[in-house]
Amino acid sequence: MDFERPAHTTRTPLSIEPMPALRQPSHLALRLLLVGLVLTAWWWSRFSQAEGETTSLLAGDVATTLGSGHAWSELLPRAARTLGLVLGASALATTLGLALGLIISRCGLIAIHATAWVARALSFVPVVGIGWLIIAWLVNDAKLPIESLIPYTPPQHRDTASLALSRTLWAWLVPLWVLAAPMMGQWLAAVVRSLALAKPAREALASRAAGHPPAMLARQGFAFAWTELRRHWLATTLHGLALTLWVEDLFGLPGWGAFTANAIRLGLPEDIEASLLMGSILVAVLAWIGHWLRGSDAPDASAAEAAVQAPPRSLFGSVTVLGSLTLALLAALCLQPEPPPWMATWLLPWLTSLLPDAWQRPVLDHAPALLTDLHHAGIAASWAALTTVVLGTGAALLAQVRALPRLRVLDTLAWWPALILATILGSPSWMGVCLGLAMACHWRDLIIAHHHSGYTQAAKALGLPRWLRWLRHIVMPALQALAAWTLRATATALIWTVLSDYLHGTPSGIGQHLVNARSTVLADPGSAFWPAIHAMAAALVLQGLAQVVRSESLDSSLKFPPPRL
Amino acid sequence: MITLVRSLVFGLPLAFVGLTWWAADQVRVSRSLRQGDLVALMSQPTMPALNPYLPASEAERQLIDLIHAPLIKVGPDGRLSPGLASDWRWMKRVTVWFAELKSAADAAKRLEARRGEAWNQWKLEAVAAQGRTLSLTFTDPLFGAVRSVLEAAAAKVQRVSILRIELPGKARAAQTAMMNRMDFAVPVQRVWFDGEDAFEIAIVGVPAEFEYEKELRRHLSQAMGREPLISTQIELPMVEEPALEFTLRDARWHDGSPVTAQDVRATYEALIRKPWPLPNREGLRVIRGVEVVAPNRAQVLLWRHYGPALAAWIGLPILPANWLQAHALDDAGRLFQRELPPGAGPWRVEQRDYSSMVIQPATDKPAAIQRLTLVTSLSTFTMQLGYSTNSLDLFWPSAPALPAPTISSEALQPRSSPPQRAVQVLWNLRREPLHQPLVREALSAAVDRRAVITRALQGKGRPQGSLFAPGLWLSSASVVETGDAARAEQLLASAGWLRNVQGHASSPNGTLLLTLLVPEDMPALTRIAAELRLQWARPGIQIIVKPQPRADVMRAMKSGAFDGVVLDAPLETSWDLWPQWHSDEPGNFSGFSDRQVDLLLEALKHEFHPGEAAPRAQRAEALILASHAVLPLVTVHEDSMIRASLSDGSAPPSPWTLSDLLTRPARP
Repeated sequence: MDFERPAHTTRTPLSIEPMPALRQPSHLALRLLLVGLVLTAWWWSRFSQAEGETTSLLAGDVATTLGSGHAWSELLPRAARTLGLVLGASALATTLGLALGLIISRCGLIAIHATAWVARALSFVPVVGIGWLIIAWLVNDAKLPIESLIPYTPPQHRDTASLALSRTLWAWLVPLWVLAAPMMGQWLAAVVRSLALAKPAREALASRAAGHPPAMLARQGFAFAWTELRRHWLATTLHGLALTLWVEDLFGLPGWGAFTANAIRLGLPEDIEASLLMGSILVAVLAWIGHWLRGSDAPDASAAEAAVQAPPRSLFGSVTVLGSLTLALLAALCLQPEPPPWMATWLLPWLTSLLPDAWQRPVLDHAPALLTDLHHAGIAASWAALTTVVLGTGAALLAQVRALPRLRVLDTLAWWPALILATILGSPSWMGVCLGLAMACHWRDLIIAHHHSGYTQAAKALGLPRWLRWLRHIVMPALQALAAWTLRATATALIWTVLSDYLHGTPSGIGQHLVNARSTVLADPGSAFWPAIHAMAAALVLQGLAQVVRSESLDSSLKFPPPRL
Repeated sequence: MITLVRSLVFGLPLAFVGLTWWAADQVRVSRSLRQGDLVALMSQPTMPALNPYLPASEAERQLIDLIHAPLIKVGPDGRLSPGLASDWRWMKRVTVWFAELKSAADAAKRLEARRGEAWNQWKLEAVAAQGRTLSLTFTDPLFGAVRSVLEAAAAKVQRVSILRIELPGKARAAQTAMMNRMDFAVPVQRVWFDGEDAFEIAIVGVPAEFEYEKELRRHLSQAMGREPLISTQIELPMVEEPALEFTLRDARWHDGSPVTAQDVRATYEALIRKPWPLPNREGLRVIRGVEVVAPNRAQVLLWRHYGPALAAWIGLPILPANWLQAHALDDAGRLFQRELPPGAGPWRVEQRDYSSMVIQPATDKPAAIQRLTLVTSLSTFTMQLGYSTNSLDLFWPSAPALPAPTISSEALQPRSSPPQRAVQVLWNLRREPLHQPLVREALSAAVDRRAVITRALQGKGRPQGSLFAPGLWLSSASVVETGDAARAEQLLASAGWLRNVQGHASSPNGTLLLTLLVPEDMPALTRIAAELRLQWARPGIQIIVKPQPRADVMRAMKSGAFDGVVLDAPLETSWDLWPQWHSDEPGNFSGFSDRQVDLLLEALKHEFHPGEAAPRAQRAEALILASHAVLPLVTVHEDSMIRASLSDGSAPPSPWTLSDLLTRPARP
């Protein structure tokens, strides 16, 4: 079985890039709702000044700044709008991504790799940057208004139903496309290579040998792709829900996302509390839809035989060493509070002199902010790694105790869209903890898999002490995977830092550059383009390093225990 | 199934693309329909609530002026002009009581028999007998031959006692408790509330054996748990009540129903109980009640002679009675966020939702502008977006410095609003050396108002030299001199303050050092104080600026523990300067005392005619300003930006309101 994609698994929503797969616990919708309620209660107990019993607060009796209303009456309409936006963007992203993926997968390996790279790059562009660029293009080039920001209704005698409908649609379609872009990139990056490299089912090959038309083969690929769509839908959509904070804020939409963004920006504890409550319901609804969409858990026959071909190990042996050195340098940079002087005085100017003239100024202008964000992302990644090892090892040890019930708490927490919580809390350490939750699940599964592996059992039979068995055959092999995941987490944390800083108004960092772009983007779209590109490029480099460093040494005979639901 | 899904997978994106293309095309068409209407942006997070009595911003105030109509308003020439009231006049109502039922009717008959010449001489307009009461209406609120009339009526009237009952915070509850007992309630003919702390009653026909005051004190002590302060103010043969009668024009609410006197009464009764800081509120406090004399005539009865009570109705929006009955006004005014009352102004609200509000003319008269759409946003980006795409015509407050638009756009012109507040410095005349007139004059002479506006207010203000709003009929055309530090130094020298080696003005008693208190809740005041400090430093006056919470500043003013205060105050349309400047008033924080001014102020309180009030008010103002007890500085304005093609082209641009823009007639 391929470690990358065992059956009965889907991706987690935490990271932009696909991690090794996580199992979806049973009754996920209900579990996520409970998690949200617990988070709301925790927020109320720590930060909110709202008075009243916990139960009444959890029942929605929270006074918000939206006039004199309480959570239900004020936020339910907003939540409904956000749900519509997310479902629409998800439908567009997944179907467009699927259509593009199917077309590209017939075009050869170069096109496939290029598309995968472009899609990954698109998923790494901060959604705010995408929004600014689209607004600049619509206003400057397409000469179209942004209806949600400056609405206009013609006089009644000149207005018609179709004009009224078009205005409403336009007000929501532009943000929908902006939201769909990173979602599509995320989904496409995850599945386009799988689509191309999926081995056709024996039946399809047989039918081809028998002279049946290639359409049969295409139909097999499509069936596989549809299965992939159902599996990845929830993870992508939950990430999209988190991105509505920025999209609705940018376009002035009256949704839950804009309300939450405003609450975070102004630091309003009661509003955040109400947002968490309503967000929990949204997450639960999406989880329920995802469950319905996923349907039967039985995998498609062709999907069961699909495998992603990993690059030969020997080819990347030396690259692994180089990647590790780069990683060490990066870690040294990230853990420093400020970029070292030598970097500013000669390294950066030297690097930028290699670039075309037109790029040098923008790179120099944004590099210090990028380094600040990398530092914060490094801190977050360190916390993520720590959380992974501590929680994951603890969960693995507890899993050995058969008497304990399998509550799947860690798996449930890993599914809650942590970008929302990380943005609300706004500190790199909490961001790291949120990122580490999903990694902890993988670490747990990895530890258990290694524990049950043949060589570990053999070492036990040979009388090796338990601690040496753990160190040599379990922890050491798993550390390489941890290194790769940490690099991926750094890439994710970098983008999350940019987005979080945008709302919190942190003075340094790429996020502030994107905030400043507000006043100049119409005259100079580059003011939004360059910060977004910097963030994207840095995240891509980190992601690339992760792919180089990724675990190659896993024995393909590793058997995962069946999931206990 | 797979075929269906495949159709969906390829069809859905195409459908999205097609829908987006169609919507974009239709939105272009929608925008092209924009002719003869304006789009304005208000820099606030949500749509204005349009509370007619608590506007949150200048823009909202101007919108309310368009949608709602008062009885009286200030016209472009600064004089009072008709609003919903086509006419108004003062009169006096005198009420007397008789011991016997028949006496009032007999007295009325005798007076009716003398109708004609005698009535003209007496200035008597109407006589009405009801039960034991005889009401006489005189056409002059001050002069009316009441004695002659009563003599002619051969009226043997009962004495009226005016009692004042003081019970802080519980006046209304005490009045209710009093009226619950028949022996207290029956003699009560009039009740006037002096805020929430006291009320006065007029009682008639108390049985001789009943010690009304003593029994009332006992009753209220038991009922309220506290002994009230009860005193007999005066005993008279009658009750004299000035009355202000409004005659309403034939106006209609935006829902088509007629505006009636009942609406005026309902508005007063709804407002009087609200703790809202209404302008000229003193004028509302002295009102005993509003009576509906006819469907188009309302009489406002005052419980004491107070001519400036007219000012309370200037600019006060009137609301429909049936709407007020159906909707209970909350103290916070949040009702208006959910329910908009119909107005009677020249424009009405066509539509309001979370993102925009549309107002249009209430009549079909041709106008240059047929529609105004308002949108709100705190984002400067939205302003720039509107500017760049020609989607916005008017911005509040003014847009910041805009980058060069990527799409060609016409120039914007800044326009300032009429002033609503004025900034002034108030001195404490009880303190050394401020009690010296020359020192105060030197402080006034050294101030350059234009520099204050430029440096402290970024140009958003105008010099102010009067105690009244500029342009008002009460205001004097004062000459505002620019600062003259040399003259200030001469004045100080004349007062014995010469420069020492450090360059500071000093006398044998020490250097001239003053503390200037500033409320810290308005940053503009602190900047003004800082600029004044620099200007006063030139003739050698040292100033310490002390920003403090406003409550602390007010406390210091009340206790007299201050040298000077920089204050902002609303510009009201009343000619009553008594509370701030009469020597006996606790509100006279400066300690100013001038017998001539006191007499003028007393006369102003009893001046019922605005035209007659102006010369007296200007005389009083001149005397107050000559003492330099107060230094009027600047009026504060809000700026807006408007497209040059919409401006009236006046140079320099005069203060401007939405009403000026929207009520221009259509070009033929």
